[in-house]
Amino acid sequence: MTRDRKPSKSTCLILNHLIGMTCAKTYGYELMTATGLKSGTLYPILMRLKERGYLASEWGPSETLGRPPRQSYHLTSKGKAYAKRALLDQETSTPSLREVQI
Amino acid sequence: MKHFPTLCLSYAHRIMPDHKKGWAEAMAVELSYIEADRARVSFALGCLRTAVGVSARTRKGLSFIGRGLVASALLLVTVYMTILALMWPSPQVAQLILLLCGFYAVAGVLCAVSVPAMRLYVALLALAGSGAWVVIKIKHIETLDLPHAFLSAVMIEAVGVMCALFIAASYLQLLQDPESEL
Repeated sequence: MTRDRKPSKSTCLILNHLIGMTCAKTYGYELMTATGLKSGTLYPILMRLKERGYLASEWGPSETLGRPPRQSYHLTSKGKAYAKRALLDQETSTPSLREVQI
Repeated sequence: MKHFPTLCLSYAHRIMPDHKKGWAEAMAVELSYIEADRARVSFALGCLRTAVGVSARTRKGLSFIGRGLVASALLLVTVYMTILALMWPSPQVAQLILLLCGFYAVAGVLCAVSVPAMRLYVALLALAGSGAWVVIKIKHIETLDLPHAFLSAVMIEAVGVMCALFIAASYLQLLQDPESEL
C-alpha cells in the first residue's frame, strides 16, 4: 500500500541534489556524501522513488579504469515535477531549508 | 574485518527479493569505490539493514508486523531472564539461564530477519525444545558437565543481542520514515 504523504527531510535532500544534477551522473556513494545520509537511509528512499516512477537508474561504464560498471541515478520528468513541488512545500513550511540552493 | 563489508553485501544480495536484486548489485559495486575501512563498514551495514527491511516487508508467511511482535516478545523474555540469571544465587543455574537467554535472543533475530516462515517455525520449535531440555536438566544440575558454560552463554547472548539491536534499528527506521509503505 502506497501512502501519499509529505516527503521526509531526507527525501527532500536527495531530490534537491538530483534536481541540480541535470547533466552529470549521480552515483549512490556520491549522493550519500553530498546529502550526508547513510546508506541505510539513502537506498530505501531511492527504491521508493524508483517504484513511484520519479527516479530512473542506468548501468554505465566506470569512469575509473579497472573498476566495474556503476549504476547512476537521475530524476524522470515526473520526478522533476514531484521534486519541485516537494521542495517548494518544504521551503514554505521549513524556513531553514531556504538555505539549500536548487 | 576487511572482508566483513563484502560479506554483508553478499548476504544482502542473498536475502533481497528477486525483483530487487539489482539494487543489491548496485550497492556491491558502490562498495568497491569506497576506500576507507570505516566508511566501507558503515556503508555495508546500512545496505544490509536496507536489505533486511525490504526482505521482511516482502517475505510471505509470517507478516512484517507479526515478526516484529514475536521478535519483541522474545527479546523481552531475554531481558527478563538475564535479570533473573544475574540475581540467581546458584552460579550453575545462572549459567544455564544465560544460555537460554542466548538462545532466545538468537530466536528473536531469526524471527526478524528474512528467514522463510517454515524454517523459522522449525527453528523456534527447536529452540523451544532445547529450552525445555535445559529447564528439565536444572533439577539434575549437579551431575551436568558444563565446562566453560558461562563464557559460552555470555558470548551467545552478546552476539544475539547485538544482532537483535541491529534488526531493531531496521524496524525503527521504517517507523520513523513517514513514507514507509506499511
